[in-house]
Amino acid sequence: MAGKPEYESVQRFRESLQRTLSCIVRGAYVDVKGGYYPSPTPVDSHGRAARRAGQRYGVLYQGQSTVPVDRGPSATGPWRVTTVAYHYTLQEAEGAEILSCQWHPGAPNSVRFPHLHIRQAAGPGREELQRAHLPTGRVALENFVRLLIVDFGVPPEKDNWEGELAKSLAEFEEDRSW
Amino acid sequence: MGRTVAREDRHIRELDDAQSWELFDNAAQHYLGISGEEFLGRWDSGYYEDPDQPEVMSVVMLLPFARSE
Repeated sequence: MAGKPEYESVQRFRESLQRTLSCIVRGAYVDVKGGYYPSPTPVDSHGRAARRAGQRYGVLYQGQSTVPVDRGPSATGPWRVTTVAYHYTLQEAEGAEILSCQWHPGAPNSVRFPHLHIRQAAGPGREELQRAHLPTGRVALENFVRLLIVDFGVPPEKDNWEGELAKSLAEFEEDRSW
Repeated sequence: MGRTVAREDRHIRELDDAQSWELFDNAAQHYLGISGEEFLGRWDSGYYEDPDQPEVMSVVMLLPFARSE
């Protein structure tokens, strides 16, 4: 498959993902399965980068993507990896969730819009906040990672983390469909 | 067209079917204390009326690892 545009589009997406996660997670890895051909259903689940970020936090990235044919302009021609679900979670090192940005429109009996969960480890006083799906726009993984570095004090693993995030974010902006 | 060969490319680990299932099964046991098979049975039967729980959704997101291509 190497050299074929659909393969290259997948590799580009995965490398961008790994580049982003490695800004805060030493030795970040991304587990993947399949995903080199068009499919109407998710065939590739990216991530489980559940690793310590600094001394205090853990970060869990999970995402699902597929590789559709897209006739719009793209850096990789007619092929473009499309995210169909994401789940970015900041948790205590011991595992209790603090906050989680999620979008999982295919899950039954759940909301279909992107949302934010503020969990118990964030210390919200109101019970409603722990259950609420706080509506958000689509959240790019790069912006979530930036939030952790800038506002939660997660130490970056790379001196040039801003440039790395900017590069990945530019690729995301180039390929996003919504 | 399914891929059965595992390989590691830098920090991207492409899992074969057995490794994918193991990842999913381990997650089901870690988050919910049940096997991957049991989770699939529950999920497909609509057992989870409110799946938007941290433990459940953490397994749901890994479903592609459990399903055949």
